[in-house]
Amino acid sequence: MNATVSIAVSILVSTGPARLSSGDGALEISIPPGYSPRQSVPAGSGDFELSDSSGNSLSLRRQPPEADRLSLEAAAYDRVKELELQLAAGQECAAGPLRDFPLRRGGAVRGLEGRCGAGPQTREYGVLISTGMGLPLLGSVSGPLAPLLEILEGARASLVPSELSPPGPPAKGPLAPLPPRPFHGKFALVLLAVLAAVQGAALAARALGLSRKAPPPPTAPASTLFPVRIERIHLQSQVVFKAAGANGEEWSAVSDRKASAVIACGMWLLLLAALQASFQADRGAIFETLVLSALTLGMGAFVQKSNPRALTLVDGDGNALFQVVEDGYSPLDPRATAIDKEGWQLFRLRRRRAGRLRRWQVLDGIQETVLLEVEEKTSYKTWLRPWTGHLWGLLRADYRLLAEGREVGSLDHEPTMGNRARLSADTLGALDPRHLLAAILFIERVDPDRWHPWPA
Amino acid sequence: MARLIFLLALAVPLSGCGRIWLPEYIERRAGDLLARELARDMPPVEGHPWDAFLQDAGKKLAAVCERPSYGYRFRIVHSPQINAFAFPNGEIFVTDGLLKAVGRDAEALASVLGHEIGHVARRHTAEALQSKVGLRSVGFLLFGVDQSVARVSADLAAQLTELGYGREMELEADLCSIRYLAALGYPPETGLKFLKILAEKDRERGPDFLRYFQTHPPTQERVNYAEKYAKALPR
Repeated sequence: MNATVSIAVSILVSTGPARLSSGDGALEISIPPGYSPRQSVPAGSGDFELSDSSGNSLSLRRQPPEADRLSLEAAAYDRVKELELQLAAGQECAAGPLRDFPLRRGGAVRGLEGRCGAGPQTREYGVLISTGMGLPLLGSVSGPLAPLLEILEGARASLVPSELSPPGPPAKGPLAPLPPRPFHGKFALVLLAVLAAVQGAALAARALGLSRKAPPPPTAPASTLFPVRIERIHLQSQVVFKAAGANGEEWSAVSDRKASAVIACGMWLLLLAALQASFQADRGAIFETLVLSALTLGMGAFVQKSNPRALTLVDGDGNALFQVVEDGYSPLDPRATAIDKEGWQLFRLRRRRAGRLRRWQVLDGIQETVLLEVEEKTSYKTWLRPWTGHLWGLLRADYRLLAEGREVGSLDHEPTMGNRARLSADTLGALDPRHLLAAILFIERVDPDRWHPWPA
Repeated sequence: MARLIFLLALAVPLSGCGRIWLPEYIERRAGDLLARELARDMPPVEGHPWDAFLQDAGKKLAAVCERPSYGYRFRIVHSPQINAFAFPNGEIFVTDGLLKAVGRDAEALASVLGHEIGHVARRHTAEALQSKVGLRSVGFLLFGVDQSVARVSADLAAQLTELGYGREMELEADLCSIRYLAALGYPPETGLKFLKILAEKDRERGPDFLRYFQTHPPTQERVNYAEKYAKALPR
């Protein structure tokens, strides 16, 4: 019994009237029994609108902060007229005088009561003004006044200061320094981790025998040309190769890349247009950049078409030996002709497709018989390269050299970031070794392994 | 090897390990766009009781920060979230949800303002944008545009690094709040007021394994870090 009573008491004690805050948090009221808030009050508003199931409605509206007693009383009378219009329905309304209504917590609110009609059709109404909380309020009710009075009894205002008031004087001197960031240099660590992972992958691939080891040093007499060591010199305005034969001969090969430079400018302009669009720059500016990009790309294509790619082989003394020049503009199946200073066609080159593997043919300059075939060795690299690029040299294409169906040599790249390779050959038949070198260098120029996965 | 060194030399300044090179007008433009976008979902609140305090406190805190004449503007927006937003054009939004959370504690609100002003004064958005561009460029240069495994891994590495940067900036902004309030004459602990309110509400966060993917460090970590800094400041 005692336990049951104590539980009932605690429920009563803990179940007080529900509280309701205004949208801006400045005012909090308790909801009178039977009343509930209306959904139509806009969010963020400082007003309250409540109604009950009997059709009584109640509102509490915040007045301008500068409103004084006279303006509040005027507003109260205006509200009374509104209520009378709503409730009269052809009947007489009578309102009492404006008077003070004392509050239990102390103080009073000012207002008036009225009623419309008589007998069972009587409708009560009332208006109250409150200034006691620093927030001028105008409450009105179409119904008994008591619930509105209860609301004002229990209302709480959260008044906030209007300015920042430090307790002490401002500090002299500069701001206190900040400590170094706890994760400073993390980007460098991430990048190093990526590089380490890639190098680890390269070492693992080497250990598994997936990458080609550097071939053993040549045992052939020093008078033979092969193997020839080839190296691409990077960060040059032209494409430059250096080659050194086993017999001490040296060559270099150069090829212009004007078209690539112009096309690269066009691509950068396209990227700039994309950046402008992402920052929602002026449409005119974006359009201008796009037009400039299109013009530059077009110019690049024109330069490429009208300036076929050419590679000049130069001996160690700086004498140009001959030139391998692309025939026309055929990006899918390029062809080239090697011409010496007198204009003789020394040999021809053409690319033939063999699935995804690269394959080139070196042809006799006059009769166009196939002297040599240059065929990519491994297919898995061909499949991976479009996704990863040559991946720090690990996936560069290595070639076998075939003459009359028999392997007579190879071009093997070192698995390094820089483009270094070794060209080996034993018998070449009718093909001059220097012609082979030029052909290989031209293939490297026109069919390069890119470090990025963009399409070639 | 030359390309590798060139790439690193390019990536380090792009990523923001050095100074911030992003021009101010881009910062402002980005801020205008972001603020406009957010204002669509969070309409401004006019005539809020906290408005006068917000303007006054914001002005006083901005006057002692590293970029006092940047042109800060403060606004209360409607949202039930307990949040505040600093845009790189100097606009700072405070939600009315946050104002309810601070109750009548003006100093807690001032600490929030100090934090947001810190983000603008220290150019955190510019730095984050720069590092994002730099990290994405490095990933792009290394692995291209295709959605390959390598590219996705590079993206994930970039995101983790960006999150790291984001958390560092939050911690730095917490310290800025302490510094600015101390410069005005408040005790250093004043800058921790709102953090402590947040820490109370933070108990319902996710488990720790998610922390690496959150843009803000856990609140208790922020409180500990800021308290250590505040204690070391001269009184």
